[in-house]
Amino acid sequence: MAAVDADLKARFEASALPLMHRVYTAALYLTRNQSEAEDLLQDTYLRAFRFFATFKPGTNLRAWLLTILYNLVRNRYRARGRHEGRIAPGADGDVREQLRALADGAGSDPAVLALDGLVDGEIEIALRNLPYDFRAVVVLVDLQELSYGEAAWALGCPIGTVRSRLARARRLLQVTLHDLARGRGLVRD
Amino acid sequence: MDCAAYRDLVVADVHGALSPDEARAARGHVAECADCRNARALELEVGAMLRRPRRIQQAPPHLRERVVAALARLEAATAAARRRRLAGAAAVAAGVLAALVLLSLLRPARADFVDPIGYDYRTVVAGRFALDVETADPGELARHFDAAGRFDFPAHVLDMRAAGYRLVGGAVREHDGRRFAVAVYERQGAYVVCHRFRDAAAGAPAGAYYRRGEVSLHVRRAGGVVCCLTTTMPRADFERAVLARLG
Repeated sequence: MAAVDADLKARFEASALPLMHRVYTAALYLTRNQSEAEDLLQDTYLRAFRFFATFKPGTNLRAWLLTILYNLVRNRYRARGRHEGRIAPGADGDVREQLRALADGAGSDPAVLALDGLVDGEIEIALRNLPYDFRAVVVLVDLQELSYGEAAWALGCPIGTVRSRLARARRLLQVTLHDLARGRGLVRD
Repeated sequence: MDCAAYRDLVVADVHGALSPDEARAARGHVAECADCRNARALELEVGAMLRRPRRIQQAPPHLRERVVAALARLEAATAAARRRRLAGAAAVAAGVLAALVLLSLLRPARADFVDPIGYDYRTVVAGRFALDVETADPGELARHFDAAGRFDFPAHVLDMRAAGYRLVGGAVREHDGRRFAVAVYERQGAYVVCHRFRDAAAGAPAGAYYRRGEVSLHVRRAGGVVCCLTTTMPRADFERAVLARLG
């Protein structure tokens, strides 16, 4: 029994610890707060270790760890009665508003030409300022390179929701990036 | 597929997450639409920027140490809890075993005399019990038991006059290979029957009380010899009115 446990711990450390940067990154984007992200990462690893015997070898460990992280975030914010940055029920209207403005103002996506001029920090700002539900799915699919199915599992939503949230997140990102580019004089109104 | 429909799918298209039918329709539309080709190019660019490796933050070294230490603490706590559980289970098992042993020691051997004695008592009450000797003299009945010569203990017949009971007589009875010296007493139509018998296995501890329906059995004991008094009186009444007076 003890030998089995020791083996389990060795396997956990060998496979899960190297993924710490990725889990930490996701935690940072979700919380936008370093100490909260560190606590969240530790809790994720402790919970993962507790349930590591249930992890099916050969499946995506990164997706498994991120699913635990996302569940913790959901439970934590639910417990605190807040979901910082979460889309309010009426927010879809705002998004459409912004998108309409973008569609009206941009005949042939001038942002394409502008993006190269934007530094990473500005992309970062755009990403961090996305509402939680959009940021959460972009982090999973674009940064962590999970499949839509894995992302849906981590988010606890249907694959169709992953797809629609990603599309809307992109439009919001482009609005922000376009604004940033315009602010820097890279595009004109 | 029109532009609006394609714009809804462009991200999934770049991610390769469209169904074959959707992908075919999307490719068909993009081939003919410059705006949507632009949108696709934009998405490729945004996606590439998001996926830049530098986007992945390095966890600070102290965080890794903190997690490794927390894992070690969790493991130690789990192991300690498991040891406690095992020790607890072992203690419970040992306790159960000890209790079983104790019970087997304390528990009287099966009181297999209760039913035969109860049977005798009922036949006495029904007037169907055949007496070997009819006598009111305990000494005479004792001599009868001794004369029968079949008991390996000295015959003794209880004198219950102190409790108001007179001796009616007695008989030797055998049930399941066990021999009983039976004495019958009466007081105003109520009977007390005494069975004396050898009980080497201590199946009938002194002070034991058994009840079968209306009939109750009270065990007195001297060494390996048991004197079992049977009555229909309530236990407390019998103890107070009869046993207390017999000394």
